[in-house]
Amino acid sequence: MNWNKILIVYAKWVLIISRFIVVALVLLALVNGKNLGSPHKLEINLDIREAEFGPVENMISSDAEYADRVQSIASYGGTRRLEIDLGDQVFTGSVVLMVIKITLVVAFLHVLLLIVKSTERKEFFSEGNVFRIRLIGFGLIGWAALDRLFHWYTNFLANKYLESDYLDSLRVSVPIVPDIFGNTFVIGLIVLIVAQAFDHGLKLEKEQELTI
Amino acid sequence: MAIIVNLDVMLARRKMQSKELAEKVGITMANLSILKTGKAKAIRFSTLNAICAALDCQPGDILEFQPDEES
Repeated sequence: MNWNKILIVYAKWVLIISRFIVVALVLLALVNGKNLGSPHKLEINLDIREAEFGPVENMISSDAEYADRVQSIASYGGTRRLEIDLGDQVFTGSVVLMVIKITLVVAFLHVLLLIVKSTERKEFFSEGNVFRIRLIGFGLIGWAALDRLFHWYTNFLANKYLESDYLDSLRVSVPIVPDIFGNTFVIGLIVLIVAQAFDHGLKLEKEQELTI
Repeated sequence: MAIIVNLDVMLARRKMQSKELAEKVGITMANLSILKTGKAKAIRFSTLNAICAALDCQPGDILEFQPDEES
């Protein structure tokens, strides 16, 4: 068994296990409820140089109704982490985003597994794989678009609570969704699959060159 | 390889030079050499058709099956 085959078998099992782990963790989190965090609360990281712009507290709205809902939960380096209780305003948005992202993660793992399996069968260059790779591409674009949309939505909501020109530095975290597209392991796996495809393509090219 | 290319034999029978065959078939001398030395992985039907037409022979006159010693 050569290194390529070992890699494919390893990748296949990692994906099979990851798929079940993701589904199991999500189900566990939904049943347990504890890991859901507080979907109605917006956790934001403000990367602000306080020496230059003054204390973050000064940026909180002067309106008492909104100011009471802002809580500073951590401070490290030049970053302050604030938590805003948005009530039900953001709940629906974050839950919808969470469900879409979980669906994307599971679908992505499944599609990646199908590609790895086809590589194992030496059927990498197939119409099915073209469709699957396109699906991953659209998934990545969709993921980024969703993040951007949710970012705008929360920025729009947070404007009431913070009087700052620096709201662009808001970083929104959605509970229990693994950031699979930002995971270096998954990116490494995709790169290795591409390398495998190139290896197969190179063999085909050599064969083509020796076809008279 | 169990398939032997007997192109040299047919060229000698027809008293034809490799260069002339290459020109008639429309392939380069380098590719004809690959074919003659048995390095080719595959041959297109169109090439085989052109070679047979140029040498006035059958595919079986050019290609021969010899079982591997291992098998």
